[in-house]
Amino acid sequence: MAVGNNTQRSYSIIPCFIFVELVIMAGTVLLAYYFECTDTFQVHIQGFFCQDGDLMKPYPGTEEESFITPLVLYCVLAATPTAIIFIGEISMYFIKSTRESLIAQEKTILTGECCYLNPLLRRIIRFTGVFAFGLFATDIFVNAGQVVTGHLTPYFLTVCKPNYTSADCQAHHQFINNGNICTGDLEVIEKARRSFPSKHAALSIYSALYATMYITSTIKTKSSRLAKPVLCLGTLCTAFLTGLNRVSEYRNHCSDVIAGFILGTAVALFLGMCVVHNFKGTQGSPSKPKPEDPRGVPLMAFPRIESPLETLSAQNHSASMTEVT
Amino acid sequence: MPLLPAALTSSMLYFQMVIMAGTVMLAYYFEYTDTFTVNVQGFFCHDSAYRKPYPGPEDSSAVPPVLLYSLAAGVPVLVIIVGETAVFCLQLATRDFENQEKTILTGDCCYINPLVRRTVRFLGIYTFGLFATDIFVNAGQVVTGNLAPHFLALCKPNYTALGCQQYTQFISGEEACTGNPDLIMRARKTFPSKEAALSVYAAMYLTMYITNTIKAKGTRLAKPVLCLGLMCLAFLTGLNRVAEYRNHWSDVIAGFLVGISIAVFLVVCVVNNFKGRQAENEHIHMDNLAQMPMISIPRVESPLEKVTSVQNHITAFAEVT
Repeated sequence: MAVGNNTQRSYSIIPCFIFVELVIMAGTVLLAYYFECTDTFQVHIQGFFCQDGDLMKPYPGTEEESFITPLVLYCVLAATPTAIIFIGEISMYFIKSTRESLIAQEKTILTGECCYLNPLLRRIIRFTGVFAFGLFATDIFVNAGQVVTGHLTPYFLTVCKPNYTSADCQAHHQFINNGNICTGDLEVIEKARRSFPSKHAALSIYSALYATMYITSTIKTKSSRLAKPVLCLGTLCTAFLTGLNRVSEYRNHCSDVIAGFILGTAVALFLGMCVVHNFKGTQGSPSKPKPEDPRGVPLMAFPRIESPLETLSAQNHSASMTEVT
Repeated sequence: MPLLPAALTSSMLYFQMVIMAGTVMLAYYFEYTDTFTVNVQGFFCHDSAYRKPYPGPEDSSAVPPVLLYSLAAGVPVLVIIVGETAVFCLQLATRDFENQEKTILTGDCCYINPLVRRTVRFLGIYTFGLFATDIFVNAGQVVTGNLAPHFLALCKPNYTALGCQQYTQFISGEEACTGNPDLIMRARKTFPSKEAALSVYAAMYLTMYITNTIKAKGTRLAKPVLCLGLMCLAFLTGLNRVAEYRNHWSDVIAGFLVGISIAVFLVVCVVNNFKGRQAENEHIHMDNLAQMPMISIPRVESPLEKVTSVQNHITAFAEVT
């Protein structure tokens, strides 16, 4: 990959990266931090029935006593896709046949006098960066949902410990609107008001789906049709069971977990398809069906590009995209 | 007709066999042994969600398991074999060899023609997906251990001994039940619903096969009727579970989601919407790519270069699949 047609000189890429991408990223991380670690956003206080069986499950202990502790979960779901992307990209770069098509897709960028950004570095940074952004975005979505709905966890009444003999709770179908009736530990009650959607379910399915999409669209195992599906379905199954484990430990309702799954899936699909274009290079972004293929009935109809002029303008567009990333 | 000698293919065949055998083994362990113990969930004595009447064993259901499994396994096999044979005969009759897959030469004696290749591939993936769905569902059932709507009717807890006078008493022990332990074990496995997941997986796979492969020119309603009919049957199978108090709503919805997502994943990412010629294009265009000078694609000016860029796109597209 000598300096030739495949290099591009760009002075704007580094400042653009620092002043746009990093600022957006920092903002996202800051917002996620405010949601996670501070009480800037007040949880919506929901009422309840004193005798509601759905909220009277036993208290399973703090999150650290769970079967899948938050620390393990966060480490695994941040590390697995990153490791897969690193291994995949580096092996693609060093295998000759894939390297050629890789370089054909992606240009080396020359910034200033000294620095070359080669395709390997660009792809790794792009894919892991988008992954990290999506992780924080999912976290913000989930936390915002939890704060806005304020759904109660299945063990809410156990930690709330309302005074059942008092006048409010004597009648069976008395709806309690104020939270002052609780006598339990305030901090635990605060956490028991955050349940919909499930954070564990959303984060784990997001991470698994991103890794799955990377594997399916990047790694080519010729003539073995079952190796990829086994790997992908295994990853997805782990995420699926992580979500279900929340239900079995009475930490979330079924509906919380299902909502978390849908949320994580949506974020991962959006980022994988619309932002990194199925992990192809910037040129391969509009994956057009072969025009002369008579049996090409694609599931989604991509606009077909007919005239050279249109091709040119379309590719100009992707060229401008190139400079940003 | 193009020939492709493939020692690689035959060696990969064993690899596929091993993966397939592992999947089947895992499904077998989930179904027939108690290697994986169900998570024991507690309950409230008078929880009305679990006090539905017991609808009898599975065999007395309106959709007994034998019927469901034989339909889920038999109908797609039949449709795919008939469909592939029809496509093959049509190609022979119209001499349309361009669209065909390559004939593979293994060893000296055997030719594997396109008909056999496509049929084996589609059916193999279908079978794999069936077992994968089964594993997903069983793993989910074992991990959650959600109770069936008829659980309390089977469990027959001793209300006086457990102190159930109070409505809010939570019972979290296995020994609280006095009923038949086998039936109770089965009533602890409901989320997600297996019948819903398997039937919707089979229907979805077939629907995608029919829409992608069969081109019935002239009649616009034949395909939709067939597809919607299949989907409707699967839908009703799931709903029947709720009607018979064998599953909750959420179980059936989760089962539908699992079945649909596995079917869509396999069809879109693994068998490429049932199209078959990508592998061939790949070789041709890889050769082109090797001889081609590395040009920067965005600066395309002439129509000739446009052609090469289109080929590049196809290469990228073909390689992914």
